[in-house]
Amino acid sequence: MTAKQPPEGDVIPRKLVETAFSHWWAFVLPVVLAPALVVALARHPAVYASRATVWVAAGALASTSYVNDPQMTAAKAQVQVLGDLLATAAFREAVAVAAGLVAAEAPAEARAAAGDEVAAGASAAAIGPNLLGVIVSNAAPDRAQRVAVAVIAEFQARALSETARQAAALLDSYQRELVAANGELSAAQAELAAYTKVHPIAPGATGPDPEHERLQSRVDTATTVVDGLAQALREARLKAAGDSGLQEVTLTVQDPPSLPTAPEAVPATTRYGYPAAALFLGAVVGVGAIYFRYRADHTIRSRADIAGGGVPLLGTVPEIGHRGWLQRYTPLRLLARRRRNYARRMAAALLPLAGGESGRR
Amino acid sequence: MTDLAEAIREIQLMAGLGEHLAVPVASARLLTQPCGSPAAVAGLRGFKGIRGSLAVTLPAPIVQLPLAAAPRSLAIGVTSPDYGDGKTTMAIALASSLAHDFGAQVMLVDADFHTHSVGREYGLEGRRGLSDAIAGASTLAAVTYRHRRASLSVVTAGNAAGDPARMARSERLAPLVETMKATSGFVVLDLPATLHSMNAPVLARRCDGVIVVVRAGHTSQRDLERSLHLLRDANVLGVVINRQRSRVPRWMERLLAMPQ
Repeated sequence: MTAKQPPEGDVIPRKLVETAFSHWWAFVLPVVLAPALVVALARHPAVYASRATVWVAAGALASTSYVNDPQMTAAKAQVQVLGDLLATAAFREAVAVAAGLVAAEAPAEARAAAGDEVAAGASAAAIGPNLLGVIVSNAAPDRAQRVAVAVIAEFQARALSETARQAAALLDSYQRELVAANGELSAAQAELAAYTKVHPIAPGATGPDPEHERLQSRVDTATTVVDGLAQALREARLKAAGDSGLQEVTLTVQDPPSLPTAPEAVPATTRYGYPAAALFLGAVVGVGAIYFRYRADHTIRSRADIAGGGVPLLGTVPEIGHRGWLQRYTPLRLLARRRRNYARRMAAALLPLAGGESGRR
Repeated sequence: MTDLAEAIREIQLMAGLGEHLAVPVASARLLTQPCGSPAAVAGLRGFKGIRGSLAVTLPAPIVQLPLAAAPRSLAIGVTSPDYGDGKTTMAIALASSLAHDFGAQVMLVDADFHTHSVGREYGLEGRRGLSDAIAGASTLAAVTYRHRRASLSVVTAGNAAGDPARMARSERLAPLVETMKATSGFVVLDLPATLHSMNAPVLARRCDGVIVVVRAGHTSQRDLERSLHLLRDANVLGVVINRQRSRVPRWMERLLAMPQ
């Protein structure tokens, strides 16, 4: 007896169609549930975005780490810097406090949560070589604007403080080097004076004194070093004093953060693409489930299932005892039982042939 | 006459028990349905179809129906691979239908010593039956219950103590079956389930033909194969698919040109 061979001319096996109609829920369920699940998961509240543009100018003491990269612009470099800052909890929490999302004296957990809110919504992108776009998304439009303002302010403050830190370090270094250079100059000058005192240069001397020339050269070199260090020290002092021309980078707000008036539009991919894909996937799963049930069903359901058994099919008796759920739980069920009991009583009318026993009970 | 009334009338006549007399529980199950429904009417047609199929699949001397002209009686066994497939219902319905349509004496014998289904269906639990006749405690006439007005008689499984396997292999069984055939045109034996009792093949060999009842959506092809293998020494007349139910709409069947 062959299991899954439909009779000739039967393109679609009857059992497959029967399975599809008897287990229709196996198809409908994934087709309905998959898109519903995707819609539920992809559904998000209205998001407001505050946008700002910032002009980025590299200062005289700008880092030279990216100068050799022709693709790297000042704006791109600052995008990376801002990304790095947003990755730090201190910066995020400082922004949150500045934006008024959380109080400065709030518990660490609250500040961390507010910082996460900042990190989740803030992003930056290079619009041009020197133009930086800052976008902050939030469920509330005013919070988005406040966070954007705070991000830019904190970014500027970090840039200034970094400049000041670098200037302080330079100042300290230059001062120490200048002290050492002054000492060297003083020593050279003293040695030259002592030599000159012992070996005065006679008027009308014919040739130069090599030792005198060496000492004089040493004094000149030390003087040059001291002059250079003094110049560098002056510049460092100016930088430490906050001269913008000496900052590593200057951030100037061109378009201040806007107050969004309408939520961001949901992308068409999210709105239609994902549910459509889920619908297709659900249909595939449903068809697969139906086909699996069909392949796994080895029961006899129709003439085709005993076609190869070598015995004829005498007939089929339709199911006559099947009731829908409505009939199973309604008075019809009680009525049917009563009728069956009646038939059972009447069936007792059989009498024994020998007449010794009565069939009636 | 409405469809409902016609269906009830047809069921009663089919059961061979008159219009207001005893109705076997199996036929009563038909009555429990909305009788004018397609399922009930199709059920009647199903039984009649089986009867018609029997007419063309029986051995040549038996083909010339009606039974009154048949040269000899016929013992038909009804079995199924598993319990609950509907073999007892089919045996009762077949006996009732044959009694009415052929007007001959039909004896329904419960040869399933395990379940005693026929006796229970007819309210004859605890009465003497075939096992008592085999044991020699009663005569066949004493354990045969005949209906007052119908040509149907019933022999229950009985309640004699003993090994059912030994009873099925008893040498007294063959003469008893011959006696039944001598007094009745058709002897319908309700046999045990093939896969649950080794008595079924033994008893099936005593019959002129065996009908195997399978339950749609329940009996597997493998079970049917095993049953047919166990019944290989018997004369299997064919298979009846019981409780067949289709959920495919008619328009879909027509659209796909699907055979029934």
